[in-house]
Amino acid sequence: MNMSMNKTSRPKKRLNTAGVWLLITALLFLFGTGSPAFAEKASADSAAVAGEAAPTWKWLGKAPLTAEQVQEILAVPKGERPDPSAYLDKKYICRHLKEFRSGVSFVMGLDNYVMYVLTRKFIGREDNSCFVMPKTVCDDIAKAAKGDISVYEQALGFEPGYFKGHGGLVRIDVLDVEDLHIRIPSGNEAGANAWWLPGGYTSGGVPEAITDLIPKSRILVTRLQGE
Amino acid sequence: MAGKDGRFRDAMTRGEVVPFLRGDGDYRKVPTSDFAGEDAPTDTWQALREIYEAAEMTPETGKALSDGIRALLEGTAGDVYLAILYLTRLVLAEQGNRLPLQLPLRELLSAAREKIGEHREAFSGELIFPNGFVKKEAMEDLQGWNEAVFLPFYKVDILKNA
Repeated sequence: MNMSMNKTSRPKKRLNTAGVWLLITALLFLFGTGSPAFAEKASADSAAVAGEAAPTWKWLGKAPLTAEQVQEILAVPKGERPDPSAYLDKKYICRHLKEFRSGVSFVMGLDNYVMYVLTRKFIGREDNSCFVMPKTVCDDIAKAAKGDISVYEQALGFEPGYFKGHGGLVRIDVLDVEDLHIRIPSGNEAGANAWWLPGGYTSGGVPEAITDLIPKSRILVTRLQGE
Repeated sequence: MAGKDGRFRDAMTRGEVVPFLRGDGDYRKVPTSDFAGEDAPTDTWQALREIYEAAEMTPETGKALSDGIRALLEGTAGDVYLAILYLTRLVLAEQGNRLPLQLPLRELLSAAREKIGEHREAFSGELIFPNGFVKKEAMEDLQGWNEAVFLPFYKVDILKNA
């Protein structure tokens, strides 16, 4: 597997004056009313969607692990948890990761995008990991949401109001994933929090995986303001 | 401990604003989604949301938060990092007209700028917080926030003395 994009390769250069002005332009763009090509405002349809029952997602699932196995893995302190290959069938791992081969996505609050993506050349955490979902899953949510960011909150386990509280939602897609070392998280990752479960699904049943740091030049960004 | 909406008010009453901001013990907040992108000792967005809720009920909330940030700026390198993380979120909230409090942000940013130089070496290593959280490469975050938030919106270079 290609591990060439490890943290030692991350540039730490600060922006020059021209870079700062470019950034100001980008920020005005983000915090302003936005361009129709970039900012996908919630449509009138969103109100109708919000009033409907929550969609049943066909991709919801859970790992083939017993409750005892899950408890056993969670009981191991973070940093010492076993590699998923120690408790998951090879066929299951291949099948699970196949869902991510045609592209990966993740969403974040606009504030977090400004704080953790805008000025960086690589996206992810310092331990060379980035939690992602299959792009097909995000496409499915987008189709049901029709611009309503609360649908993303429900589907992905964010607290109600999370994205509004962050100034909007930013969706990031990555189509070229060949060398990103997509793998099932072990629970040792910096981003694995108290709700993490072993086996490649979030506690809400969303399929997840991790990648190496993602070069920013490779991402497609869509912003949803939510109102 | 009080309900969610009263936890910051509770912390104010007990004189535990700094432990609240730092996520010490039961004050620690964990993002509810694996896809939430913050890498910090506590979920600062949840903490601020509780503070904003408290502000609706208690006029002293703004002063308590300002004093808490000032106290963090007088603390360890980890405390200073966290204070600047809160300031970043507060400036972004202000720019997005989402800040329900009056805060002396420029004054706090100036105070932060004075403190960064004192901890420059620590920011390049590991910061260990009282709740056990370990933050690496803090300086990279500080550089990013300076470039993306403080310079464009406040024309304050918090790394001037670093």
